[in-house]
Amino acid sequence: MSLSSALNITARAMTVNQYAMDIVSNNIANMNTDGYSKQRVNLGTATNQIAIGDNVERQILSDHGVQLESVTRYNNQFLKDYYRSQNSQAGFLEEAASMSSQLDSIMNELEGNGLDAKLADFYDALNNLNEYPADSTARVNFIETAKTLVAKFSSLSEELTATAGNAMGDGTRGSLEKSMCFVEVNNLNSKLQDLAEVNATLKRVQTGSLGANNLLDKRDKILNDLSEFYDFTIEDDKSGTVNLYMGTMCLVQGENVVGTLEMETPTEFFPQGEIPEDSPSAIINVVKEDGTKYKYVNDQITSGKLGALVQSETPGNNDLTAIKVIDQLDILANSIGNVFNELQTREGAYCLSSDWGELVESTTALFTGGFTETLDDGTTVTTYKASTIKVNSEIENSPYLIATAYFDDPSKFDKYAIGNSDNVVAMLQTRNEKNNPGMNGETYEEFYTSLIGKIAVQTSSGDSSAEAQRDVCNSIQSQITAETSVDLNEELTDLIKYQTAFAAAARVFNVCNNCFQILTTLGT
Amino acid sequence: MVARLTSTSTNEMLLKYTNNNLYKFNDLTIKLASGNKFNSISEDPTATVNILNTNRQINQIDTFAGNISLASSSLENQDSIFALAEKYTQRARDLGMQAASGTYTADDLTAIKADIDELVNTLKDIGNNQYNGNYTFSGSRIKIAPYTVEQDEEGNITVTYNGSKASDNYQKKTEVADGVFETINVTGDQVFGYHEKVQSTDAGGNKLFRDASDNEVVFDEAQQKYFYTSDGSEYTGDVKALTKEYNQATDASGNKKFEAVDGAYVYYDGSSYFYEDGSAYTGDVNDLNKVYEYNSSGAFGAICELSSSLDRAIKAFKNKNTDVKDSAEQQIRDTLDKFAAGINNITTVQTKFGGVSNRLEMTQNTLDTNKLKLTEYLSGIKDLDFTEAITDWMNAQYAYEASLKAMSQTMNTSLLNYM
Repeated sequence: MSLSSALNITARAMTVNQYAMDIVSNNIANMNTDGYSKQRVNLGTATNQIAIGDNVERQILSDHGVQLESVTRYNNQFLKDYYRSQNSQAGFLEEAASMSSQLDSIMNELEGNGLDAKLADFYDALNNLNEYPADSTARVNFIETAKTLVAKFSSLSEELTATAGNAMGDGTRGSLEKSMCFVEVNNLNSKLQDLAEVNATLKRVQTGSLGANNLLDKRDKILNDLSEFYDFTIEDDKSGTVNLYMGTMCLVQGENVVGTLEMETPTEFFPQGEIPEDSPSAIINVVKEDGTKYKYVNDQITSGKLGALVQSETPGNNDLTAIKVIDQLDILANSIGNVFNELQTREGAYCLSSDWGELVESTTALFTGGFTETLDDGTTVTTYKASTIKVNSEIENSPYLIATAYFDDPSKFDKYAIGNSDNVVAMLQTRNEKNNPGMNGETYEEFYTSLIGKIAVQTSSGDSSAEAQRDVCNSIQSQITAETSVDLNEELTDLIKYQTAFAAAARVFNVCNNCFQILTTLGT
Repeated sequence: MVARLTSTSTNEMLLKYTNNNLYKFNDLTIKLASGNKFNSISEDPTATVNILNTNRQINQIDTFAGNISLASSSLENQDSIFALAEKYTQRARDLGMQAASGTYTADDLTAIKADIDELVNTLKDIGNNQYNGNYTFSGSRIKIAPYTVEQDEEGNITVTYNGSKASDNYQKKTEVADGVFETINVTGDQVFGYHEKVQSTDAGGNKLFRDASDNEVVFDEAQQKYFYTSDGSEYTGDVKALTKEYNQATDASGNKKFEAVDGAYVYYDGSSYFYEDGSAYTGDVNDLNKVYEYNSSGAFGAICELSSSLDRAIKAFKNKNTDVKDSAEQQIRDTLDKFAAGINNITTVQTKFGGVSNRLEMTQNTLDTNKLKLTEYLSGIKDLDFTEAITDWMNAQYAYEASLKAMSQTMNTSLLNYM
């Protein structure tokens, strides 16, 4: 035991407490840093290896005091893993809900200017035409409402197509690169790069140090971000790094990114002329380090944000997507187009002559823009789409061509009977007809209403499950925050503790110093 | 229960709960501002479907109500027309009755005939009623006047009906309830009748005409073309220049019927002219007027026959032929029955449409009640209860303010304040 040993102890105590204050200041500095975990200094009594044994004198003489054992980081690995898997789920549900709510806002019929209202206007005009079949105002009015109806069809179809392209593009390169999926894939790839870099640095840094802890926080944050994209499997490696798997495909191995995602349009992916009918609008591949690929992995991407985007295009998915809503609108437009054209040009249907005075056989279709194909048995089928159905411009320019009259018995035909509106009555009856082609026992309006109902239910339940899932994530997150975040009171207490210890050690140092001075002056 | 509480986690929690209050407050504010219980379809899918269905039903009811009011006013118009027609036909019948009494002089009868001929025109104007720019009684030929009245050189009046025939069975349908169509039109021939000469036809039933130079022309129904009967060549001139060829009346044995200047009927068997009783006609053949075959029905039929019978009676008076005068008076009496039938036609239709009108009124009442109920229902699912909403809104506001205050005071307190 010597004075110099006491000096040494106090000096070390000052260093250690100073370092502890460093940690406190790091905690306080980062108290608002996202994902930062509180770090704590573990102090221990300094032991001297050479003092062990039975040499009591050496033991007494050896240095004691305090030493820095480690810096630990507040952590709850279980909660973090749990958070990530729930976060993938939330990412999936939120993305799906956001796509669904786009449909919801496009098909919002509550304001009274949706397709439903236009269909009602159309039948109203038809009813008026029934009252005044030979009146030009009634005819022009009918044509105008028909034009509004098809315009609504095409604007809905256009908006929905744009929405459908939002997720995965529409099959062209330009649209693919603007798609949400493409942006997310790029984000994901850069996060993979970040993860590999953190892994690499971690390998070089000593564990249990401040630097290592900060890097772990950073990696946790990257992993959390990644979990929103997909429910990746994370595997701890002995060297302190983690490996990241998408299903069975390894994307990050230690400090290397061994798989990146890549998107291709169907025309780029499939050999020319062999694009399957049910091909998605974009193909996702995983490119391995050596340049080879896991091709067409769309089916394996089933969770997280990416999963929602990719699955929105998977056939067999029961959810109503923009594309499926377009299909339903096409069915409606096709049925209306065909039914009205059939009535307009059927045998026994008559329109007015160009001088509006006589009836002549009607041969001009009301709606055009359909796609006509000839079947094997020689019959032709015309298919109308919501996006392309139009009011025949010939009818538009010559309203007298609307077939208002109908004679079921040709012998009753009377060319002066321009007040005959039996064909309009037949057209009016389509409103309550439940057996129009493609309608499955519903009237046109019922068909559309149930489509709206389905969208509303889907959006509503999608919203609430996304919300519920986000709540789960938030509650896990707040639990994690409670367990690992910085508390100011705690830090300030620590600060005072270490400050006091530092001050006390300094006082001891002074006393020892005085003692030395007394000793040095003893002989004089 | 969270074991550890830190300033960061408390702050996060406070922020979360304050935000919840803000959302609730904001949501209620939007509801109050819009007056709707919800503003996007996904907020209440069931109500959305109900709203759409109810809107559609209300819209349809409005359409039906519009149709009914249109139909009702058209029926009212028809009703007043029927009343007028009945009044004038009745008047013609009264005149016929007076003429048939046998107490009138030739001058009186001439005056009556003038009156009757005028009544034909009045009835024609009534029958040619236009409503909303369309002829009421021409069936489906809405832009063609249903009646034209002509008087030939001999003073015979013909009332031609040009509308679509009752036998065509054209019914103008108006939708008055879901899938329920009412018929509200009636053709003129059914109500007022007509008095038309029968157009001659050839053996094949094709109608015959004469061109300007009196050549016979036949209209081929099948080809819709006109041909000369003489050589079969096609007539290419103006169709409007053609005059119709009419059937001359005959007796039971097919002898052609004429009328002499004194009103007596004379027949021609192809070689000689003779009276009804078989005695030979000794007058000038050129004085004879053809008697045409008529297709006649209803009020117009009765009134035109009365006119021609009066004409005969006047002629008989002037020539002091008592036999013919008696026969003409008998004819006049005969027309009285036809008047009864004609008036009956009008009142029958009037009664029928009275029934339709009542039914429409009833339907209108049902529709009104339905609309009221549906509107109430719609308002119930769509419109905000303001009293409740404002109370909720104020509560939400207090809650939000309270949480703001709690947050601002809690976040400021830490050991730092006391160092």
